[in-house]
Amino acid sequence: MKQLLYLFVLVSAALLAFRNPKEKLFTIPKKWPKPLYDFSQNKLSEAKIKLGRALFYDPLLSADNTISCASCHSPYNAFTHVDHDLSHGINDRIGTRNSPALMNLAWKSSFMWDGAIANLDMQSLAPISHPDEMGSSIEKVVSELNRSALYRKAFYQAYGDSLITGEKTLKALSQFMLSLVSSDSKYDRVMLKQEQFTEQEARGYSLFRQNCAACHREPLFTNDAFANNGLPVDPSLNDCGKMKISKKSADSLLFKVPTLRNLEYSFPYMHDGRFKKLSQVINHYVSGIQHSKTLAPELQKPIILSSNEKVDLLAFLLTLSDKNFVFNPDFAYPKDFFTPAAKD
Amino acid sequence: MKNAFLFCFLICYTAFGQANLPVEVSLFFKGEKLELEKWYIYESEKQNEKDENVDSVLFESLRFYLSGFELTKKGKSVWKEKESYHLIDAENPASCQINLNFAKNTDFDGLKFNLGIDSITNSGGVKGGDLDPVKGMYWTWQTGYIHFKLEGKSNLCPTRDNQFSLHLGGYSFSQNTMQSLSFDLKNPEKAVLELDLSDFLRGIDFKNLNHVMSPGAEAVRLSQQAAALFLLR
Ligand code: HEC
Ligand code: HEC
Repeated sequence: MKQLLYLFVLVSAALLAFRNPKEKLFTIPKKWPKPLYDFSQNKLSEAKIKLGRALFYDPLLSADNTISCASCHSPYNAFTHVDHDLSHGINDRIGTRNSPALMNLAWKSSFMWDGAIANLDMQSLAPISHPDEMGSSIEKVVSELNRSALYRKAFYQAYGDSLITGEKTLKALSQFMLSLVSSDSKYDRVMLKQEQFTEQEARGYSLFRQNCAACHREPLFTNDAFANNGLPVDPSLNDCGKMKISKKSADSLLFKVPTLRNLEYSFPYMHDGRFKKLSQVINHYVSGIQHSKTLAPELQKPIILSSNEKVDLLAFLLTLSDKNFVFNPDFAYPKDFFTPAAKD
Repeated sequence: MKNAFLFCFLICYTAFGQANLPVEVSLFFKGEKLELEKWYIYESEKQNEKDENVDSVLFESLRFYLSGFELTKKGKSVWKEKESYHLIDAENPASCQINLNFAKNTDFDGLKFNLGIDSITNSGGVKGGDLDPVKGMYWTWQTGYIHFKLEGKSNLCPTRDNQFSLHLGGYSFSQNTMQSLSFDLKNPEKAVLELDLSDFLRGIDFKNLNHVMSPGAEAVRLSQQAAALFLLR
């Protein structure tokens, strides 16, 4: 009997030792809500995430092989566009909106600044087909992928079938994007009592909770809703936000509340990238709010901050930077997928 | 005891035996079999007295989704097809033949289905088969399937190349374009669904209405008009 017990302990120990540390492909960070994405319809696997990552970085997805998803969603900028206010697509065509930073997408109920897309799987269709973005079509992308031996092999490894379809392509892209979880900022470590805010950051945190947290709700720093945060309309774009989709006047100038994680890397800010610096954003909330019919109730009463308090708030916002996310080698350009020979 | 097993086996056997109902979609224009890329002459609706009311029209493509097939008995559902999504494409005769497979002893006297796709599927994750976005029936810039797509030319269209494109879809609340249809089945062996597109053109003022490319009131109205075309023979 005792021997049996020893055997049991030995076997369990061996099993534990050989467990792949990457086995858990998606973990819900402590104290976070349940994700909204339905993983049961798109079961994560390492091979699919790897495939999705290759697709994300491959300009094959654009009409003239020049633009990849990463052109507008660069990892080092928390997956938003480098330096442009409005996104640039093929032939340097300029879109009408700023590309959002991509992270924690499993917790979003809708996508795009106006919520036009209800499911992450379908999101990739938009840039692939948009004439100002990648200017191609999913039909064309799938037929090109089917022509590539590299991808036929990768799809085979991921799905056990080398026939490439739109469904498999889009699901793989979703898998990579779902893996982009940012939950290791100083703020997170403070919440887990592993670190402490400086006095300034702590003051900023309490200002944040008074003035901003209703919309930029912790821990995701967005309530996943739409609001008019008082930005004056840019007459050259005339973007009415959610109203374009719902056709209801009550939705005029409502935009999705973005997350505030990794702001340090994701400039410029707002749906049209009108602010380059966080200090401009804070000044907007303090002295730039434009009153209109749909202005959010939370912003009807002026937010009054002294110059010191503005600096405190800014210091807090910078605690949301997650270096390990931005520089995570698992999220970067997959060199060894595209040039297997260079793997040494 | 043995007999009981045998009995169960027999019951199962008869219950799991398969029967089928072929459903054929048959497309017409003014009573003739519909041909794509062919000019048809028809009487258009006069918008005012002076208008010429003869128009020629040509269809380049006609595609639509039929979904959620059900058999009914006295209005009550007795069988539902699983994963019931069928893309009908005028260019592809095979797509116009749907085969419903159900248990042998199903007793039914009616057929139910939808023109379009339900809202849960519309807003859910990506699907394969006829729902794969490579079929070109998905709006890319916003969520949702195009339920019904008719493209072609009419001399009345003041557009480039006289083109019209009617993309009907939309699934949320007031913009929902899915239409439910139900019919009495006189012949339980075969169902032929007939649509005559000339009836669809009645009530379309091509001069003013030639591009519907997003959900909204116009798409809802035209979807109702498209649903009214279905006749069961
Ligand atoms: C030309 C630049 C450009 C390219 C290329 C591009 N995007 Fe985007 N992306 C944008 C812009 C701009 C938006 C916001 C659009 C809007 O709200 O109308 C966006 C939005 C998104 C969103 C929604 C994020 C959110 O929080 O709502 C996701 C996800 C996304 N893109 C993924 C991708 C993927 C995957 C690809 C490649 C298939 C891609 N993008 C290619 C510019 C681009
Ligand atoms: C009424 C809800 C609401 C409140 C309160 C609010 N915001 Fe916002 N915030 C928004 C919305 C909506 C946007 C996006 C607006 C747009 O782009 O049109 C936004 C955008 C931002 C952005 C830009 C993020 C990006 O990636 O582009 C920052 C930074 C920001 N808010 C910080 C704050 C701060 C700091 C406060 C408190 C002083 C605050 N917000 C209060 C709703 C709110």
